[in-house]
Amino acid sequence: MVKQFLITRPNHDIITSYLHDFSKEIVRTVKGAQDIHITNLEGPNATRVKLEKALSKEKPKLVFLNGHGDRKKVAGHKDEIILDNKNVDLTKNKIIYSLSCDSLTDLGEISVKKGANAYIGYNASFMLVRDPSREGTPSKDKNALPFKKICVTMINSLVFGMSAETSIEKTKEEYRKLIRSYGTSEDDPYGDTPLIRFALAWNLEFLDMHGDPNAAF
Amino acid sequence: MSNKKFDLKTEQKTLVLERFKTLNPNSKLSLGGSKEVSVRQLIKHVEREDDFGKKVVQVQINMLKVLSGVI
Repeated sequence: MVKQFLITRPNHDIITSYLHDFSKEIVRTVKGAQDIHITNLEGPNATRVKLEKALSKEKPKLVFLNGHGDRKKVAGHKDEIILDNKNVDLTKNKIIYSLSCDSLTDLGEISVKKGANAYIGYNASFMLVRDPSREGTPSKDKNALPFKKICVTMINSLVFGMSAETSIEKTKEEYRKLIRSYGTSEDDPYGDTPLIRFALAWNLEFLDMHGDPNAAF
Repeated sequence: MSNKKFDLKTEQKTLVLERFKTLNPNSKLSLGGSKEVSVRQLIKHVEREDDFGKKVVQVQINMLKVLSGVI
């Protein structure tokens, strides 16, 4: 049986261009998997209408949201609100992983109350350290690499069937590993290591979930 | 021996501030919504002991625990 996976990938400003880059690998991986169908709402396609249509018609079991957010909403292309309390009931019977700021706090809780199996996200801002000279090419930004690794660890764990709780624990372990190991002179030409470690520690602190810890794709 | 009363919160705040003061004050962290916070601003938040500053201290202390292998 083919499993349905939905991803939103806005790409209209610096931060979303980094998140867009982080998710390239998982899109490539899933496209090569025979038992998973991916709906890739990329760039201008990351709209509320298209998200609602995909959630209703394709009934994806796993939804990966990338974009700006706050406690009550997650945004898509050009910061259009694509998920909030008015349409969050569409997350029923789904696992949501939201790589956005704060949305776990309120929206995550409401989502689970409305029937989502699990909502994974951050209870505070998602922090990132960028190399300003690489803003135009996020894939070449060495400062962003540890954040990309974390993103890949979490979504790979979920896509390949680990439970929400195990995926979070694996990702937290990756955070700890990176905090301990990051920072050779080769990694850190501009002395940004302490700040990168702090941002990783911040994200580690606020990554969490609501819902069923055993929920799996 | 000092008669000063040991206050864990004050000690933690001092430690965190001293660590941040070794960094370039203009270095920035990206938050969501295209917001940024510089090291200088982080220091101010910690000094003011506002909500964000308290979280910063908590995260730095937990980071030190990770670095030392406690967690």
